[in-house]
Amino acid sequence: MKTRFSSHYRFMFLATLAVVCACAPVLRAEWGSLRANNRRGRGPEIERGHPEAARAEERRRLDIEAERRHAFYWAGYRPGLAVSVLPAGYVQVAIGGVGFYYYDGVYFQPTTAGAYAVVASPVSVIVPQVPNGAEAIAVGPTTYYFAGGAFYLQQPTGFAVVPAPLGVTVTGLPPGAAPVTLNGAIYYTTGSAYFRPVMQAGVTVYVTARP
Amino acid sequence: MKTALLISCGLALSIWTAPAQQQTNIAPQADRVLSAACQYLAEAPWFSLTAEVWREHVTASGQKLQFTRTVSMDVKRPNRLHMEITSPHTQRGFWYDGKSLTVLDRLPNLFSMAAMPGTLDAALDKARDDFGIDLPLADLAVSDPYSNATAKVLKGTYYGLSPVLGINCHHLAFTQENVDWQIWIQDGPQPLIRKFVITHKQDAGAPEFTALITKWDLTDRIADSDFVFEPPREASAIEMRLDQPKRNEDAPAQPAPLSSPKSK
Repeated sequence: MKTRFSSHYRFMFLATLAVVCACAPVLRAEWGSLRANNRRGRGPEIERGHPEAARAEERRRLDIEAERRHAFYWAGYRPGLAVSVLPAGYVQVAIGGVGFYYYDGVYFQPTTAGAYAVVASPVSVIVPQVPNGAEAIAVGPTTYYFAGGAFYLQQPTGFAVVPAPLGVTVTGLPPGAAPVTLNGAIYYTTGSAYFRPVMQAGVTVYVTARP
Repeated sequence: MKTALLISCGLALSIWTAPAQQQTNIAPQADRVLSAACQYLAEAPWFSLTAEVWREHVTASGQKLQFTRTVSMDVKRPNRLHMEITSPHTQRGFWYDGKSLTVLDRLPNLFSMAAMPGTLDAALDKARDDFGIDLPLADLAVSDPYSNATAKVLKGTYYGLSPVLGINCHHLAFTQENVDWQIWIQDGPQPLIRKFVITHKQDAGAPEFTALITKWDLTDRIADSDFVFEPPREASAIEMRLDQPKRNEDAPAQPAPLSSPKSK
């Protein structure tokens, strides 16, 4: 009996410790200065789940995004470019009777000259995997993935290219997006979607918009 | 039995509240060297520096990457700052003229401006708190670099002399709750900071911020006009967004209908 109670309270003790450790302050830090780290209520005092922790992570993500994306295949291609040989591992996809060669966020179609031209991401096409390095963008219960200028939504059979959802923030423009001034404000457009640049955490980000 | 439970709760509570109690324990030599460097810096009415900074990023798989940039900073106390952060992928300028902060993103040629308080200390805090802008090496621009650096230090240690960029430097290391940091200060009559490392020890992979200050200039007078932003040709003004989390949740979850706005 005594042994049973002892093990019971040992368990209680360890369980309490585990709960407390899980709730203990998680110390999120800023990037480049001690001053930002030491701000009252914003540095060491940040607790797990506190919005400030998410903000700190978001600021860091924005800060390195311009460099990070260059690791991914889709970052080097835009409509108008052409390759003579398709990348190894490409797959064939189609929508509405139109076929495409697809590789990691980039879509190709054969040209009359025997090459393969990069084309804009075709809406509604379904690809087997979300492109490497895609930004995950949570909008309520929905998670979009953004890579190579296209938004993807998970489907039972893969990931579908969808039109740009309104009001979401992305760190880069679709390749080939052109600036246009509308009602006195600058936007970038691909023809089908509009992106309004704003400065966030000292970095330019782009909000999908309907001017 | 109840006693055991109370003890466990008490112990747990003490662990949870422990970080609130801080005691500073800086070795005298570390304190002396840091204090001299900070005083030298604080007494400089203006200065310019060039630094190479590394920001580490830990991927989901645990791989560590270092992204490098060049930072140039001009400071004129008490209320002027100009900083340029450059790499092949990002080129941004920051101007604080005692009234406003302007950020210019040179690659897309976009700039954004926000009103700021009248001193560098207050402006750096407002930029950080309201707009999420944490300028690298901002610790060198504040009015009291020593108090700023040691505000949350628990322990400071002196590790002797070591070379940085071929210059003999005093190596100091400090511990805080949330970060550790190290600083290398030039030996001799000019106690210039040559290297600075912040270790984010609470984060997965303990990523570091590292700065090597390759060039200092405390002699050339900097004109006030150097801190005034002049928009480049055809630059466009954009909104400086307040730093708020989870903005996308405000957005509708439905894809936008295709629209054809009227071009002006």
